[in-house]
Amino acid sequence: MLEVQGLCSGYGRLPVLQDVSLSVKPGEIVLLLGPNGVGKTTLMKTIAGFIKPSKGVVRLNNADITGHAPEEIARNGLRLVFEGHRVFPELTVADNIRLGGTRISRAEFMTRQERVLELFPMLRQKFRQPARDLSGGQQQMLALSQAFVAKPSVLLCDEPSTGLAQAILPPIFRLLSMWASDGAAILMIEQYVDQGLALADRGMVMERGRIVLEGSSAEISTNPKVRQVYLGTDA
Amino acid sequence: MVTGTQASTSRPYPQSKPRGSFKLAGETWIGVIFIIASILIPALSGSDYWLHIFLLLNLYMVVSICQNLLLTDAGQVSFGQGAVFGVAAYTVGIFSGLHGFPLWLGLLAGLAAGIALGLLFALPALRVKGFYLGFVTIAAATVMPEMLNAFSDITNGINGISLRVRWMHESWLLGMSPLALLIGALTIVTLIAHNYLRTTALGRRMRVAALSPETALTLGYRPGVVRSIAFLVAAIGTSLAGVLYGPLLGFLSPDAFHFDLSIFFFFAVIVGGSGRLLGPLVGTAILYLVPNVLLVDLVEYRLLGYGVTALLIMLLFPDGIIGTIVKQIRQRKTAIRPASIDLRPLLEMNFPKKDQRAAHADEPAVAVKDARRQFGQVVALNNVDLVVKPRTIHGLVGPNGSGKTTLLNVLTGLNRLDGGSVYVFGVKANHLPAAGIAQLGIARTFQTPRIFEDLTVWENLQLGLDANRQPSDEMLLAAFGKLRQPLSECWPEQLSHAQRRMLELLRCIGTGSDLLLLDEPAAGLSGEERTRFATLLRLLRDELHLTVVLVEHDLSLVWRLADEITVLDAGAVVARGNAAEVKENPAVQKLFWGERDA
Amino acid sequence: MDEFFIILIRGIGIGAVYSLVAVSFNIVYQSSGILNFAQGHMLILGGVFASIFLPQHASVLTWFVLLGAGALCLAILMAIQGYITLLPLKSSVEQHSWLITTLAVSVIISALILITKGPFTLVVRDPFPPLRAFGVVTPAAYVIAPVLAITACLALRWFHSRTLIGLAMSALSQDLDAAKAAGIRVRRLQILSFAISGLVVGAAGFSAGSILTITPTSPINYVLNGFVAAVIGGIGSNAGALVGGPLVGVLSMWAAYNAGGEYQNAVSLALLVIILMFRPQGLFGRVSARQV
Repeated sequence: MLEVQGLCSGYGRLPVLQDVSLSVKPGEIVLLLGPNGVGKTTLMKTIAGFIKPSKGVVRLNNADITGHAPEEIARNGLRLVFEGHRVFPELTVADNIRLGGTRISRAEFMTRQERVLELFPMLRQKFRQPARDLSGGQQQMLALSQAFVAKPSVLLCDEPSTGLAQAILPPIFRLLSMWASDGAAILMIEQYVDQGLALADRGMVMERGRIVLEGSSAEISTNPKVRQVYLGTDA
Repeated sequence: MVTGTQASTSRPYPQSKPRGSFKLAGETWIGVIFIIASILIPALSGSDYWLHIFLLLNLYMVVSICQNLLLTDAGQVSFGQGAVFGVAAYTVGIFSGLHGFPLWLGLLAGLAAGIALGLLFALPALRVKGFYLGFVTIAAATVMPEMLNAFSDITNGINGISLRVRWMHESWLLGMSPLALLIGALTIVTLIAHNYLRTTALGRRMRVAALSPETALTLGYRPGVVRSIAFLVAAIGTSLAGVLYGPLLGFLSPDAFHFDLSIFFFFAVIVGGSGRLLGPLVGTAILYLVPNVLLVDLVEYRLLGYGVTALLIMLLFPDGIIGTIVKQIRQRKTAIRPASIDLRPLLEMNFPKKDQRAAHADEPAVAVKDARRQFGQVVALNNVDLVVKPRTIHGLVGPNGSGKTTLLNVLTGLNRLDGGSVYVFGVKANHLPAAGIAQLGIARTFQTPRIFEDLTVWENLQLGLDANRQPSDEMLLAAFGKLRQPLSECWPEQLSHAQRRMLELLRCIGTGSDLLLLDEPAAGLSGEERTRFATLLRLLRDELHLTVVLVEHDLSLVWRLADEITVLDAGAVVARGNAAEVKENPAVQKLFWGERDA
Repeated sequence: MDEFFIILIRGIGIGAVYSLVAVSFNIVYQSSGILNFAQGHMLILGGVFASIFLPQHASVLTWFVLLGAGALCLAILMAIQGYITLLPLKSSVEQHSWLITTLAVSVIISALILITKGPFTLVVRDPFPPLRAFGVVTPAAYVIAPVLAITACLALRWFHSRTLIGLAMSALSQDLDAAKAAGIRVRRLQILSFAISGLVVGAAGFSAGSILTITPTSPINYVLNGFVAAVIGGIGSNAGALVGGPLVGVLSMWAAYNAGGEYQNAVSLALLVIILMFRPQGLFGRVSARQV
């Protein structure tokens, strides 16, 4: 369960995020929408501890984690998967995944690893190869797998499709769906809006550092204003 | 107030604007007073011992200021100043002390030798970055005294050289000798010169080259050149101090130039507060006086005192002493006022007829054919063709990661193609150096604006004007001139993200380039700001005859503004045409909305 | 001919010490981007430990026990140094502070050695008999050092690829933010890497004590040669360090024999300049040292 209240943060002394509040319940997938530069990644980085907020509160499973170090927040059950398929290039696929599972029992780790390898069989094929030999899409799946085996209660997924073809999304979305069914609360950013809304339960639209529109995916996807932002058509 | 001419650019500013005037910074005034006091007071007290200590302190302060210049203004981690100091000093000793040449000849020889060595240090700086240079210079600083011993037939080895210059120590003015006056003047001049350098285009270019070599290249100059100039300037200052060392002490020995001396100057700069004008003075004073005055009776503990002082200050005041003081003062100020850049002076320009730019009449501004670029497994550009007609606004759109920024990097020479060709204004640019491509008349903005926090907003803008090679942009200069006053008081931390993008855009316009490559300039702008931005772009195209390549995510803006549009996806072109054609293209709609196949 | 073998064997021997310094550089550099200027001083402290605690006619067993103790002491000392060095990096914009803190620590160590032991050269006697090979007599330390260097590299390779902590440490040098996001405790691992570096360099200083020059001012030579060895091999590459060290060792020993002791450092400087001019990434390096 993730709760954010009145969050203000930014780089330097002028804020990028202004008074952002939201919550994501276990098993929910919430999609964060908005044009580039509006603060979506800043919001995720602030929640995950990479940026210290100037105001506001972040609560993870009712515990206050505002301003904590990112490693501590990750160890307490919140994982941020960066955009741009960031993995450890010199380590093997196996070792990359292994680094995710430091806080759970070996048995649980093996079970979860098995589940994710079933979804991404090409990772099993390249299990002993260094991550830099994988394609961008495979690296993105690897990054998500590393987070998955850690069994986080909250996942922040920043635009998994950046730099990759749209076709990368279906297997990734299957993972996220399974993940949410397991009980994780998922907040995600995705530029392919229609596919994102098909997966998500709710959507939130951001503009200039604030959340300006909220609703179920159905409401958001049929809202003409949202289409205008993404397609540039006159409403 | 000291007046001086602006910059080293080849163009004068129009007569209607007031001449630039040079004001000493507050820190410089404090420094000058301190320097005068440090010499006058011991001189008046009549104690030769104390005068000697403080004169030596002044020589060291000169070198520390030069070290500060190298470290902060030019961004070079160099420990070579001690070696330069020693070589300059020893050359004077060899010429005038050992071989009896007249003093002025010895001084000149010392100067030449020191400058030569200082410039030699510039060579590795051109090839490698950061701590590598540090180690090379530490190695050189270690080897120098060893060489002084090894070539003892030239240098008299460990016996040292005696250098008595009686007349320089006679009492002339208020108890001060000619040497004291000379040294005091040198320190004051060095401090003021450093202050002055920061107000010149060269000084600005040095800081930019240190902080972001990429930006320097896109502004059309090579970081290596300004870096070498920094080494030259530092070598001159250090050598001037070095040649006076012998006359001051009367004796030279290799021990005095142990590599510890080089490390001392480095300590002094950072402990005082690197980047601050007053920092080197404070740092040198503390690190020299504490061991040599407070611990003068505990000889064994001097070294320990010096090391512990440096360590403690670094732990307690990581920004250095002056740096911490300035930071505290700034933080006490009330919350910063957000500022924004007024575009009206530019929008209200009166444009005469322009014929010069008709030179590039019909050939495309940009012609890319079959461009291919791969990073490991990832294909960033997949046989991309792009033609940008002159005096148009060309939209470049596509999902995140589709290759738009890579394409811009290739056009500006910051990245090279694996295959295919790039022509800019008819010139093949595949292998041209980035600075050379910029000089063809291209300017660009970056996704993360390259704005320099330590320069005022006006100075950031000036970086573009510094790079302007067009001889007669009177009207543009007048428009920018109107922005000078309000923006000189403004710092980048007061600018929102969107305003920073505007600043970068204005900087590009200021360079007088014919082709502007803009990477998401409108991100974060309000509706009203977007309208003004669109008006500005149309004005640049229609009145100044510029060509603009606009990478944007705001599609409504692109449909409104662009004459032609190219759509990229996963590194390949999937659509091109005018706004009407592209907007209605179902493949394009699917791309941006991301519809699932039904 | 004798001279050739003396230069070769002793050059490789002392070169192995440089390799060990280079390896200890790499460990710290990879986890935190810091180049520890005090590494030469840590090496010498290993020798100082030996000169104080190793008795005149020690048994081999005693030697091994004290080797472990000395290495452990240096590990603790370097962990403390690591903590001090990393502290300011958290809170300020000034990212040069580590240059000063590592240099300051080196100055303090020199000062302490000067105060407690005076400016004299300390002597270490190890319990091993000299070896006779290729017609020359070689003190055992010249052979122990290369053995230690190879052992250290193999141990580190095993550590980084087989243990979870080692993997996590290796991840730090590849993507620091991704490591944080994976819950890796970056600061703790960085301090641990300082400690491991201390283990390596302490063991080196102790076991090679009899062939090192142990004075308050000699450490600079070792940190310099260690750095040159690291650069020749490629900063970050331990295999490269194993090659770079003997190269530096043999060449500077040759210079010492033929031109005089004062020229040893000059040769190292020349080597450094040459490699940076023509192949800045070193023989095995990936990280580019090149300037824009």
